[in-house]
Amino acid sequence: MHNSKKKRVIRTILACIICAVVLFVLDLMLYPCTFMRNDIHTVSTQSFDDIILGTSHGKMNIDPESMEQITGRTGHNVCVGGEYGVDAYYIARLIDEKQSVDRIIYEVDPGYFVSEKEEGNNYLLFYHEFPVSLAKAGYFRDSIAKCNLRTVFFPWYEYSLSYEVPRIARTFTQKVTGNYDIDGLKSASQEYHESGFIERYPVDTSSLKMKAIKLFDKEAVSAETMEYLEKLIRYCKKEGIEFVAVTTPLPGATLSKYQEQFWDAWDFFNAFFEEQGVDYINFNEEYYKSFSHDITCFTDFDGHMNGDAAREFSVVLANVLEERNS
Amino acid sequence: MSLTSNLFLLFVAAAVIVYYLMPAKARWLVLLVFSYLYYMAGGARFAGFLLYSTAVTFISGLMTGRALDQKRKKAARTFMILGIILNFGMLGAVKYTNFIIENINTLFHGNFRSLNLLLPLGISFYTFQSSGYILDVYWERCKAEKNPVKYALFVSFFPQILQGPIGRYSRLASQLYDGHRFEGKNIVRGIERILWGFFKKMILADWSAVFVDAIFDTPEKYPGLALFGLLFYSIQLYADFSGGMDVVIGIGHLFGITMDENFRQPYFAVSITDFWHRWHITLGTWMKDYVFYPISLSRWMGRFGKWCRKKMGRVTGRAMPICIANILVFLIVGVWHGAAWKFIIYGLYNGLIIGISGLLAPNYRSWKKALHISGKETWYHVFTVIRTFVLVNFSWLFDRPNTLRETGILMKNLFTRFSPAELLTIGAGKEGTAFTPYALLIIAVGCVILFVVSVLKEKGIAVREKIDALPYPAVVCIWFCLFLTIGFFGSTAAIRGFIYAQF
Repeated sequence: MHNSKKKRVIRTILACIICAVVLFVLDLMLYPCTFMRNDIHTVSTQSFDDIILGTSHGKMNIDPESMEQITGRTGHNVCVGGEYGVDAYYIARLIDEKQSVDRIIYEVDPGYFVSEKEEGNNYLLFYHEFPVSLAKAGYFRDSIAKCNLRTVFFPWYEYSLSYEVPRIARTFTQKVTGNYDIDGLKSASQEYHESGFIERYPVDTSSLKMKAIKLFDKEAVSAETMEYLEKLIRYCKKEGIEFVAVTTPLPGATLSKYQEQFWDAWDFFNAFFEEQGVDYINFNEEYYKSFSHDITCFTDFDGHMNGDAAREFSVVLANVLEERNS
Repeated sequence: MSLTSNLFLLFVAAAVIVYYLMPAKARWLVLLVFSYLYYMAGGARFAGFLLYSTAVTFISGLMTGRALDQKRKKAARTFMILGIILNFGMLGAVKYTNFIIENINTLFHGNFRSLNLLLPLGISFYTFQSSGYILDVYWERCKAEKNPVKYALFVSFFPQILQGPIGRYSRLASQLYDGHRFEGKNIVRGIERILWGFFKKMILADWSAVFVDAIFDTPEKYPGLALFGLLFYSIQLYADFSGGMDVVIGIGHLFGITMDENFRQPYFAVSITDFWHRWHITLGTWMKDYVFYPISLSRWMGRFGKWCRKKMGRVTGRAMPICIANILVFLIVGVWHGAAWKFIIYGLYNGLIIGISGLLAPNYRSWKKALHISGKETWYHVFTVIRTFVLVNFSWLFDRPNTLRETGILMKNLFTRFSPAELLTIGAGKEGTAFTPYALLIIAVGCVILFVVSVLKEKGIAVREKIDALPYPAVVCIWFCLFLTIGFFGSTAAIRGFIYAQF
């Protein structure tokens, strides 16, 4: 190669490396340490008997430690608000790639089956924390690939208007030192636990107002979400992982107000899980009486429990699971 | 596959790598394969429409060319007309059938059911491009292509198929078929242009869209913001469409292909005619070459001109045929934009201004003379630019609102209500109203950057070339910083596709 040409190639490669390093450092500084970072780190470095997947209801209503007291099985809660079928499927694949899990408890929130996942942070919340793995590659292909280019080059872009400078240094240090301390994941209204469970602090329920919720409509069920749920069930069967679907209790007032839509949802999921040959435990129907639906157990009409109620419910859930297994 | 998606970047990267790895003679085939893959990624069912348009115009072009070679002008004309009818027939059928049905129902209280028709991606663009080819063959501006596979690439070239620019066979085809050598400078030129496009789209267009959507979709909620709505829409539309063009043209550069430019600082236009010479240039020149000239130079128009000169005097009589041709051209431009009355009014608005301006041109000259305006004064130039900008902004009232009723509300609010403070009540996407001032600041700074670059380009300064002439580290720094601004200041609101990709 001609000398000047060689020089040009070398300086281009050098420029690319420098740009990549800058992007990497910016990512270390600007992408916040979320609880999903802890969750994914935990489940990809430790082994558990039970893994709980699902939405914010699962995150705040199911405490693996309380369940362990009954079942004697270890568990970790990897639920999070915004976790759709595609996310749950690839989280399950990642976990199976990194450890051998016995059972997946999948929390079903009917609202998630009639809404579409928005691109951007909703995917990054999970993808960003995945270690290098086949699951990560598959997850990229099925989710991040169709997102805008900032999800790859600037995963922190959705936080760009709300940076707090003092937190940048802390985030950077935490990532560089591999610190998974959970102190920073505590706020005035909730607390993250090592088990992945988020404990919501009790609120004054007398002043709570019912907000509009995403209601189930069998005509609007997302084909993609159902496709991934089916894939997840098939995958579990293939890998010999027990799969149990659970819907956590909702406040009585919410169930009464939208009775018709909820009955439609329960009919739909009963039929679906029966067809798939998996257990479906619904605490708003078959197991309605197993746990209180009084609003004092919750922190909102959406169905997110306070910590004490969630622990009590987890014991009930563990007992039901034990009962069904025996 | 959106131009801003990771998948598209990977797709382009793969296309570039495969293109340069293949022997020079087979490179055009790589482009064809990738073009069809790209088009079919948006829905394989759409490929039928593309194939139909390709087949019809290829055969028509071939037959027209043969007839011309055999000196059978009449037969050539028949083949040309047949090709045009069949090609535009498909566009008309899929795009305008339901519009016609709706209007028949309204006019005659009919009850015809709308049809469930597919609207193929980019159909307005490739129909115009391929029809232009038939006319070029007929007018002997180019020879008919004999290889249908090569011709298929001209119609389907993937960067431009969804939103243009509308290419001309004489300028584009040979570039597509030549196996370009790998040259670092083409890659750099392409990447720089793509980055500039992303900057415009993701920062300016997408942030402006937040305010545009709020103001235009709920005009009752923000009555004092009609003026801002128009201004934000001006920013959004320009940044979105020209940003998309930058990306498309930049991708062309990666393959060593130079596509026609579609924008030339349109908001610096001194008249509506000038505006259309700077905005969506390839549509404007298409209309000029294939509609305006054939109409204004036609025999019947000549007779009409003669009649006008007799009845209205020499000057007006001469201008009248041009005025009519302009109105017709812009009526078609309006119809091209979409099957809705608002677009027809949008086209007529532009056509009438241009047509009437032509008729009044002698009066303008005498008024300017009386006021001692030579037309070279800076203040006069600024005045004409602002006047045109105002007229263009007014035209958006027929473009962006969803219905003519909304147009009415906005028009009324424009003249009766003004309350800039309402801007702060519009949430900046997911961030809510707390971040609205930041979003407005980002738009303002982005506009200043765009304005400075446009002024420099207007003065004939090649900004990109100037930057590239700087020392290498400075060049890398400037472009990388531009790239980073997309991360730091890009819109965090819902992701939007390109507006013109819907045509």
